[in-house]
Amino acid sequence: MTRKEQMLLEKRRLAKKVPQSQYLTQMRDSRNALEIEELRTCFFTDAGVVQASDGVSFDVPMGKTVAVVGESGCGKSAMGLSVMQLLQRPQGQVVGGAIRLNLGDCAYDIAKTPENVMEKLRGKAVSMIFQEPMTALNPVMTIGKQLQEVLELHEKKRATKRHAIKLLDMVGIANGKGVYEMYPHNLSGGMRQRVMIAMALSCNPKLVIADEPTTALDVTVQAQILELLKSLKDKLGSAVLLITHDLGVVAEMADFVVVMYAGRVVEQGTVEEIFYQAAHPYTIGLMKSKPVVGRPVESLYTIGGKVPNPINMPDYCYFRDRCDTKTEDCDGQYPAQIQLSDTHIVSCYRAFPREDADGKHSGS
Amino acid sequence: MGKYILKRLGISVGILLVVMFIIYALLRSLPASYVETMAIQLSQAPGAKPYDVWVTQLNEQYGLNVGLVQGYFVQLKNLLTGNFGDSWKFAVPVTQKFSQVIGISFVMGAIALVLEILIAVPLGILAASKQYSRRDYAITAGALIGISLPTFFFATVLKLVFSVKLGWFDLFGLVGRDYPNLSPWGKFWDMAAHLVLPIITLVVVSVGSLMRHTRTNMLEVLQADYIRTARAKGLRNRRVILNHAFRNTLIPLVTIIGGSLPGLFAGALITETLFAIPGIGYTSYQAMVAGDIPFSMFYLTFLAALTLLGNLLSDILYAVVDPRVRLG
Ligand SMILES: Nc1ncnc2c1ncn2[C@@H]1O[C@H](COP(=O)(O)OP(=O)(O)O)[C@@H](O)[C@H]1O
Ligand code: SF4
Ligand SMILES: [Mg+2]
Repeated sequence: MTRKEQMLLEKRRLAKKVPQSQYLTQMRDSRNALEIEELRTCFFTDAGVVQASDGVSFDVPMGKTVAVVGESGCGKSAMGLSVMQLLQRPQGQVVGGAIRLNLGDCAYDIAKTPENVMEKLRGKAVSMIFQEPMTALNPVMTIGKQLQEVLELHEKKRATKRHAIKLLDMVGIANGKGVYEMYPHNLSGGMRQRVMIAMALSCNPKLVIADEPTTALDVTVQAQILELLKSLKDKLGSAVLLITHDLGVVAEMADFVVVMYAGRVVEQGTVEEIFYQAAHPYTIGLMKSKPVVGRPVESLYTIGGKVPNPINMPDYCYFRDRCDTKTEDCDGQYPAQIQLSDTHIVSCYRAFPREDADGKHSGS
Repeated sequence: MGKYILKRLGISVGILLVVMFIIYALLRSLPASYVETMAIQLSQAPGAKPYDVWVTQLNEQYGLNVGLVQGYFVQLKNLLTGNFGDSWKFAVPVTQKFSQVIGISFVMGAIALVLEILIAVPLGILAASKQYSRRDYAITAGALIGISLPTFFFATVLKLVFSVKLGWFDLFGLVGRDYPNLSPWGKFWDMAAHLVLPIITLVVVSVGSLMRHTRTNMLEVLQADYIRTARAKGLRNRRVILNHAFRNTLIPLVTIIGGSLPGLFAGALITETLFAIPGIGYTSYQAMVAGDIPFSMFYLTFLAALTLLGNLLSDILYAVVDPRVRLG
């Protein structure tokens, strides 16, 4: 991938008149809100090309919550931003794969959707809640104005103050009239995150991406915000793509879990499968490092070593240099995916049937 | 708010007193001594008193026979009581000379500043909103050329093209040859025509830095999380920039522009000299070279006071554009 190709991608995305056939598509399963298939997202940096998502595939069923977990820097945010087409431009680009978003009557392949169509989807069909409530709201605009803006854009030409206050009420802000006139700096972090949630859910999106929505908040506030997110999601029937590195949040919220490592999905399954039958050594390590009530904090497990340099990844299991249980097989090429159940998929040589270790049995 | 302004004013006055002392001390130690120059001239007249006698007499006459500190307090008392004294060089009251020349400098500077803002801010925003595009490169390169052009060179090129080759404007001066015979409107247009080239010079050599400031600020703002939030709402690029980014870039711009307001009274030394415009820049230069302490003292104190006031003003303006700043 050269800079020239990057500019070409950028140009294609900014093209004005793109025929619908280029980006309208069919869902593989119409019960899914989102299907990500072989997504490849790159950052073209001066040091080289960072493969932030390297063949990521998973589905988000309608009305369900899928948690994406993994260490910091493993590409969770880049994956979420790819779905919104909000990667930092022009260096961040989706270079391959498909991101199918189900709108009920039609489906968009976001990887191919041009910017001027994407504008109509953002905030309406798919919206995002960001990690930093302190900086994610415009400091020089009132809360009311920021809320009303989304409504005016997608719902009614003239959204009224009443609508906005109703939204504030929906996210549990009692003094809606007062907050409407306030600026972000007048509110606490938790309140700001409530405003962000109100903004994200104001147009009943099919999918909400929440990127570490509670990481920056106090523990007590975290629980309230998660509770709010959960109840609103059920009320509106939206699917949630929850990005987090907090397994407590996963247990609380998620139906399915996707474990990412260095830009790839190493394991995915239902919450029960991931929590009780984890098959990938990295997932097992994550589970062990989760603080549990009753276990002294000193003995908290940490996975040794660090995430490999995302530029020029080698063609063997990315986790190999940190893995406790590697075998000779692990020196081979990157392990293919093995289907352990309908929902449980893992990429690890340990999960291969003994006699057939070259990955021919791989599922998906 | 009122209390804050009072406090800031108090601090500013303190700073001003210190600055005035420094100015006075510097002027006293200038190598160009008005008194010595005059003593030389007087002693050369036939049958005059010798140089030393003249120096002593003149020093006494001009109040230079006292120490720095005492002299400073005498000056301070005079300034505070509104007695600004007479200019040594121009032999008229300081305020009279000042008010004669400040008007034209102010008009020139103000027009140039307004033009600068009107050109630099939109161009800076245009450049930033499409970073690394051809448009961005063109604007940035233009700004850089403006910044690196020396005033005297650019003014000379302008003169060559528009005065010598095309003959559209006079080479220098504030008014034309037959100014006294013109009607009031004719006089106005005559003066305006004479200001065109100096103002173009001022704008071209200084517009670049404001443009670069605007571009840098805008780029910084465009990286902010709230801009990503605005995009996540589905706003178009235009609206993101105009509704969300622009007001945030105003905050630093207000400081820069507020800080440049006192410059309107400082005059433009080089440009005024090149075009022989009798403004404050040119006049203060003449006064300084002649060692004219009353005039220089008045001019520099005035500028210092204005700078302090400008800072105070931009802090207050800050509070107007940025709701987070509540002066208390
Ligand atoms: N704007 C960017 N420019 C270049 N590289 C980036 C940028 N954003 C993220 N990356 C790189 O992409 C990788 C994934 O980052 P990210 O998605 O933010 O991780 P996570 O959200 O899981 O912590 C990291 O290696 C990071 O350095
Ligand atoms: S493939 Fe081998 S090295 Fe990689 S995680 Fe599995 S056991 Fe460890
Ligand atoms: Mg992240």
